[in-house]
Amino acid sequence: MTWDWAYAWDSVPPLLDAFRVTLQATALASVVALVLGFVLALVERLESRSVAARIVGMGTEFIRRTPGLMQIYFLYYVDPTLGLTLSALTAGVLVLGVHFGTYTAESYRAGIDAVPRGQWDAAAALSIPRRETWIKVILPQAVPPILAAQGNWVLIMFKGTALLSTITVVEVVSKSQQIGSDHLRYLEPTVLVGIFFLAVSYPASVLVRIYERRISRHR
Amino acid sequence: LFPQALLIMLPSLGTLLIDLLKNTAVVSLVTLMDITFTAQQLRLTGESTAAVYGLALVVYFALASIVDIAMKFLERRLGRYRDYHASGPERGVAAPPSVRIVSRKELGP
Repeated sequence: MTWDWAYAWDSVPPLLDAFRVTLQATALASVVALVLGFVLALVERLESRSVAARIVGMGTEFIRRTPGLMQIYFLYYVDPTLGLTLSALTAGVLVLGVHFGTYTAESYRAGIDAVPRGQWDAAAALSIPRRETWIKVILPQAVPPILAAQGNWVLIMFKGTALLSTITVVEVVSKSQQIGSDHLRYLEPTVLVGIFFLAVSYPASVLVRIYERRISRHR
Repeated sequence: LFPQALLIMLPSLGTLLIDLLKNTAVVSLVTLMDITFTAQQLRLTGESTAAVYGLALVVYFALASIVDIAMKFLERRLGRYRDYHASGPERGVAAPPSVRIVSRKELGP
C-alpha cells in the first residue's frame, strides 16, 4: 500500500471538522473533571471522617479501578433503560469528566499536602487567621504545582476522547474510520489523525514542562 | 540496594499495573475476547444491559482491588525486611516521644 497524497489531502478538511469535536469534548470534559476534582478534594479534606466522605471515597476508588471504556458503555447503553437519554457526546463528556475528576482530586490534594507543614506552623505562630493562611500563604504555594499537574491531566483527557468514538460520537477517530471505510483505504486518514493529535499534544506538553521548570526555579 | 529500591518502586508499580489492567478494555475494540468484548456479546444476546455492564465493572474492580491488596501486602513484607535488617538507630526503632510545645509564658522573658 502506497501513500496517496491526493487522497490524504482530500481527507484533511473533514478530519479537521471532526477534530473540532475532539477539542470541544476535551474542553468540556476538562471543566467537569477540574470542578469535580476540586469538590472531591474539598470533601476529602474538610470532612475526612464523616460518612459522606467515606461513601465518596469508595465511589472514587471504584471509578479509578474500572476502565473508562466500560464506564462509557455503561452510562451510554444503560441510561435509556432507566428512562433517561443522553446524547452520545454528553454521556462521553460526563464519563470522561467524572473518571478524570477522581484523578484531578488526587492532584489537588497532593498539591496542598506538598506545602511544607512548617508553613502552617509559621502562619499559626504569627497568629494569621485561618482564612488568611489559606489565601495568602498556602494557596500561592500550592496553586502553581497543581496547575502543572492538572495540565497533564487535560492532555491525557485529550487523548482519552478517542474512546468516545466507540459510542458514535463523530470525533476525529471515528471520522477517520468512516472516511477509511468509504474509500477502503485506512492508511492516510489514520496517519493524519495521529499527526493531528501529536500536533496539539506535543506543543502542549512542552508548554507544561516549561511551566513546571519555571515554577521549580522560583523556589 | 535492590530491596530498598524495590520498596520505593512498589507503590508506583502497583498504580501502573492497575492502569494497565484498565487499558486492556481497549483490546475489545480489535475484537479480542476480553471481559469487555464478552460483555458486549452478552448484551447483544438479550441479557439486560445494566446487569451485564454492571457485572463487568464489578469484575474489573475486583481484579484491580486484588492487585492493590497484593501490592500493599508486598510493601508490608518488604518493609518488615528492611526494618529487620536496618542497623542504624534511625530505622526500625520507635519514634522518639514527641516534643512538647512550650508556650511563651512558660519560658518566661
